[in-house]
Amino acid sequence: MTTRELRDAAGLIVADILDLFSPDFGRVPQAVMNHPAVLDAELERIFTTAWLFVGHESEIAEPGDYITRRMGRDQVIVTRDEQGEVRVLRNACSHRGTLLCKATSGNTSHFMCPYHAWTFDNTGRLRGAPEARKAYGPGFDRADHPLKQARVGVHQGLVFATWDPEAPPLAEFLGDIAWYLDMLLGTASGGWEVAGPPQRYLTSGNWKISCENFGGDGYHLPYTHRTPIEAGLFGEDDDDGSGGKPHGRVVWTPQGHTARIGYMPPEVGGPPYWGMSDGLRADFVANATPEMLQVLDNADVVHGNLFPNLSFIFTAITYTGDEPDNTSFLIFRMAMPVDAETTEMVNILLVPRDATPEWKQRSVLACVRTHGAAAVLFEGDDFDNFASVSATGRGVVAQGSTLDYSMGLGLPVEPDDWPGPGESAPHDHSERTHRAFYGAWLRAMKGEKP
Amino acid sequence: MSARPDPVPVEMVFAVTQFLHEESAALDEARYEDWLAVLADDFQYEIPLPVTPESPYAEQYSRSMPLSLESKGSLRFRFERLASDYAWADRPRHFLRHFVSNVRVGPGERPDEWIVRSNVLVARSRTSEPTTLASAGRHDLLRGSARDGFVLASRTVYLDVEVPHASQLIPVY
Repeated sequence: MTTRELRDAAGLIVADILDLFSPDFGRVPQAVMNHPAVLDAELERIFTTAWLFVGHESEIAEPGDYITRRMGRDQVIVTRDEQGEVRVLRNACSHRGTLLCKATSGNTSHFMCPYHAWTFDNTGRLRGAPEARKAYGPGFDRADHPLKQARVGVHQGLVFATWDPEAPPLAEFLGDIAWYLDMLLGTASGGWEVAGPPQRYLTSGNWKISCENFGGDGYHLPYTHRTPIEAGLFGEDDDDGSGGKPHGRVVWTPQGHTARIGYMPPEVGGPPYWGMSDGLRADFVANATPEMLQVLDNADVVHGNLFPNLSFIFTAITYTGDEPDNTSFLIFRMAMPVDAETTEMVNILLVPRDATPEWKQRSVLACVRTHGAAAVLFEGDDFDNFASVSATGRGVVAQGSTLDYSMGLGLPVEPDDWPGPGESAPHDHSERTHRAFYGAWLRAMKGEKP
Repeated sequence: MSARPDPVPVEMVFAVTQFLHEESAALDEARYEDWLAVLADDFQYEIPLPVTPESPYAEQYSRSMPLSLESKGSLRFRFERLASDYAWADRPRHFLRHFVSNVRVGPGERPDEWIVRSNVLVARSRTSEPTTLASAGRHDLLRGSARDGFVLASRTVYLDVEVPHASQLIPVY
């Protein structure tokens, strides 16, 4: 902990930075957006205790299938063992720490270390160590040298893992946000699958900026994304007064999970699961609860963030240049810190398993053109902002300053008949979700239980 | 033994190379109307996803969810928005430079189609950012002739990096 006690140029240590939060979270220190010591503390206090998303079940459908991912900076192998159980193993030999598996994905029953050929099966047990009996003596027991293994939990096909043996069960960690995941993922009779291996790319900017943005920042839509929205890319452009203003609802939970549901005026809105192929929409509607249908009626977007770093968006694109029909897509995005100002994005597009190949291809197209790694037209404007928040925070003055997250603090929230669980407010543009995120973040950084 | 195909005439290789140089200069110089004018109406642009399989003999690119999928219409949409004061990611303009090399020309399926492979190095910067470089292989389909000129019917870009930086995904290759 010595290095973290050192004062930086602004005279700050992590504890001082945490003290800059206002009690109502209306002020957030800019230093949390780029301070290396803050990231070190996050990796230790959040990324080793929270349930972290590591992949979708369909990525490892068969025994032996594996993908390599990261949990914070720790590299892991996510695999389905020969008995069909999902395992999350540290991707480092228990002997000297060599990376065991270098591929992005594949299928194998065993992992052999390239250094001294220690060989592990895909349950993490050491099965072979060359010359062990002779070189170590008779006391060498392979059972003493397994790969470190994380706890695994699965919800609606989303695979999560945690290093913390004391962490609450996944269902408790997810809390009320699980209902919204069920609304998106639990109504397809055939389930969902990945459209393909995920896009991975590096972006400039702290990991949290993307998460709080996806988590409920309706406010930036008409301004950051003014050009594509004015051009009619989404339904949200219809605010010329003829059909009434679009509106929305923000949702948050004590665990720091958040969501926003955006609505179009009833005159121009769509049915629940807007942009889904017609046959599938009937299936989804048949499986959804009345409350879910009420939440989704006229909704043109559902987006949010599972604390800490799994964002999602379900929306439909009306136009990106040449396709005439609305097509929806559902993308999960993991924002994994690389350093305090660099984030690796992992884009996992899910499609209903029962959709036609043609519809799946249209969904890929809609997603790639607007929310893909190279979607300059839409996401490019976000990444520009995210990078600059970290960059302007490099100054000495910046490190002692706070940012304004007060929107909605002065607005009362009257109880109403909103049918979804969690705390919520009928506000389209609000920073309540941001404050819920930083509330959970600060509790974790201070080692407090939610 | 099957007959050796006739070699592509040197004039054709020269004309195709000139076409590629002029086309990328239009992108570097932000002459987007000039660039769109050399695209076929059914133009398809794709950047497949680079992946790392275990076997050195396995395919290194996945096409199920590519990094980029564009058409002439969607690229026109992207370039036309530059006129807006609110095209944040494109204002101010990027510094951009394409270096095109290793041009190989072969016959396509139709007599007026040509399969053109090339390597490209693209340098990009903006404001005071350091320059980012990206290299890639390109597979193009051209239609036309040395005498009447060409249009670009499709372009597939094979990036030489598994996890690119978003700034390397901004240029059209």
